[in-house]
Amino acid sequence: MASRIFDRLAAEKGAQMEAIFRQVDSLKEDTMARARQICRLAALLHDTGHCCFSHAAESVIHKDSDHESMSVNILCQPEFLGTILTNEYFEGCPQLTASLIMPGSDFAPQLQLLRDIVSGQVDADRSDYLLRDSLHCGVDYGRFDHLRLIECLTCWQDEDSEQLTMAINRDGVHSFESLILARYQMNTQVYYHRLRRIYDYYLKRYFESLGKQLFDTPEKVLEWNDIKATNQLFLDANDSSSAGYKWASRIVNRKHHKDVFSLDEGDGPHSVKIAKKVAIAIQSENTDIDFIVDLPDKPISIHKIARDDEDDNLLDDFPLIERNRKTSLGERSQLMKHLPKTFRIGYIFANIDDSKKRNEVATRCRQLGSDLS
Amino acid sequence: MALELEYRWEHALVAVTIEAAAERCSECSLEKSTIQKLVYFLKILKVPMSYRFDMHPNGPSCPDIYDDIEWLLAEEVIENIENSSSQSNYKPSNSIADIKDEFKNQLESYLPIVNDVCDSFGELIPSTLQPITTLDFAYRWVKAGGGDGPWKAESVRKFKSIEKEKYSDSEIDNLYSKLVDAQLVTL
Repeated sequence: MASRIFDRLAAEKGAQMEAIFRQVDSLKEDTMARARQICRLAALLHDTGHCCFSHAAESVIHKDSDHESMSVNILCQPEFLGTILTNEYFEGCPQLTASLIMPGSDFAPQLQLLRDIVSGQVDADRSDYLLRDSLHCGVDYGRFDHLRLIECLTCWQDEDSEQLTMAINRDGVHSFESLILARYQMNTQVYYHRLRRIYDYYLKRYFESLGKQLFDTPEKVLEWNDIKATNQLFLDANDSSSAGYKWASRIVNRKHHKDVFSLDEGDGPHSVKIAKKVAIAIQSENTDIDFIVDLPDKPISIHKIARDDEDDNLLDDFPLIERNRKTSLGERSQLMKHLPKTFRIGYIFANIDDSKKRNEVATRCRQLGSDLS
Repeated sequence: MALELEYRWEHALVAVTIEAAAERCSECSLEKSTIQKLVYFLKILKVPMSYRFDMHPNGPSCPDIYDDIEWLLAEEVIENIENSSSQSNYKPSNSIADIKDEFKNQLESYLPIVNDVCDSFGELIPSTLQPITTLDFAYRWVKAGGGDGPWKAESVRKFKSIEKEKYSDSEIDNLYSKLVDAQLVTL
């Protein structure tokens, strides 16, 4: 996907791209080939630091950092990929690739276009995983016409600063809207589905129970792939003396807590606060029931397109090119004017098998929610 | 009961940045864009954070900070003392002590850097911070070209190509000095 996007942009604006990229020290020779290479490498390797089951294990394993820091370590350290990438490609290749994944103080603003391809509004990763996850989950709403979208991508050069950023031609507005809708649907109906959330919670607790010492070096993170973790999970589910038995058996036997209260997609931060109070109150009224509270600590982003009514120029103004003039996608797209930028989904889960009792607790939660509002 | 509602380090960092800037900004409005720029400077000075900034001539951008400010408002860690929804002026609020207490150890290490940045830039109004971030952009553009410097002359040339005749040489010199004093750029 990253290669397709890069090639599409290069086909239209290759000369401009080359002139700007060449200003970066390590890209003075073989400019376009090297730029394409680091773009592909960043797209390919940016999640190398993920441990088994992706984000589910991240908070346990990378308590003080995140998977991208781990990816950058793996990319740059000589004992992992650092030496290989330098020998195979060029001096400075690992560091430049890392700067596209985690831009820091050494990030070259000339490479913002490549950063947009790796992590932006229409980046290769998100475009790719929506299609892939949609296929594997057997749902159609994550699909969008990615080939048409790529065909309509272009880049925009700021006249004064010379900086290149990704943009879209007027004809691509509807393809872009499809991507954002797909993202919205997949987030609300798959990624934040109540079952996925509760099993993510079990996975997180399961990995915690195994102990952080199992994941405290990049070598161990790389060693603990999904196959090894799944195998261990099944072993622990059948061994009641194992540290991870409690959580592994729930996952393997599909014996999960049920939701008794949930946020609506459109709820704001105030509703999250109310839900937090509901959780505390319902627990104090039912001390014999095991509750799990899963509320978002920040809104989940769908898009970041600025609109006219925004009070601050903090969000991206994704450039829309119309007859060689730059306008704003936020102004042109009727859909983007109405689609929420973020949403919040959260749940209170309870370990209650009896459906009558569960309904009673759910009703009480709703009542508490209403009273506390 | 498991309550999955912990503050993150970034919440604490943004909160203390707002507190430190507000102390130095009694007469001016502390807007979201100002906070974003101050946090960007902290990132440059190697304060750990998960924010990723994209670089643009009009300043660095990271919409995740916007989300965290919203969260801090809801948790009453900060408040917006402007009554209008279209304007913002943030100040610390009642619950800031809780979050500072939760991250006491990390804050001990990084609060001096927050204070240094706010000493250098906290009282600056957005219209002054804007050219400073543009100058920072120009510096990083020039420095990416390699070599050992000096960077100032080229950076100023790049700045002028972006801002045209908007600022006099002495004003630019003054802005550059502020970046040097804060150890964000070198000569």
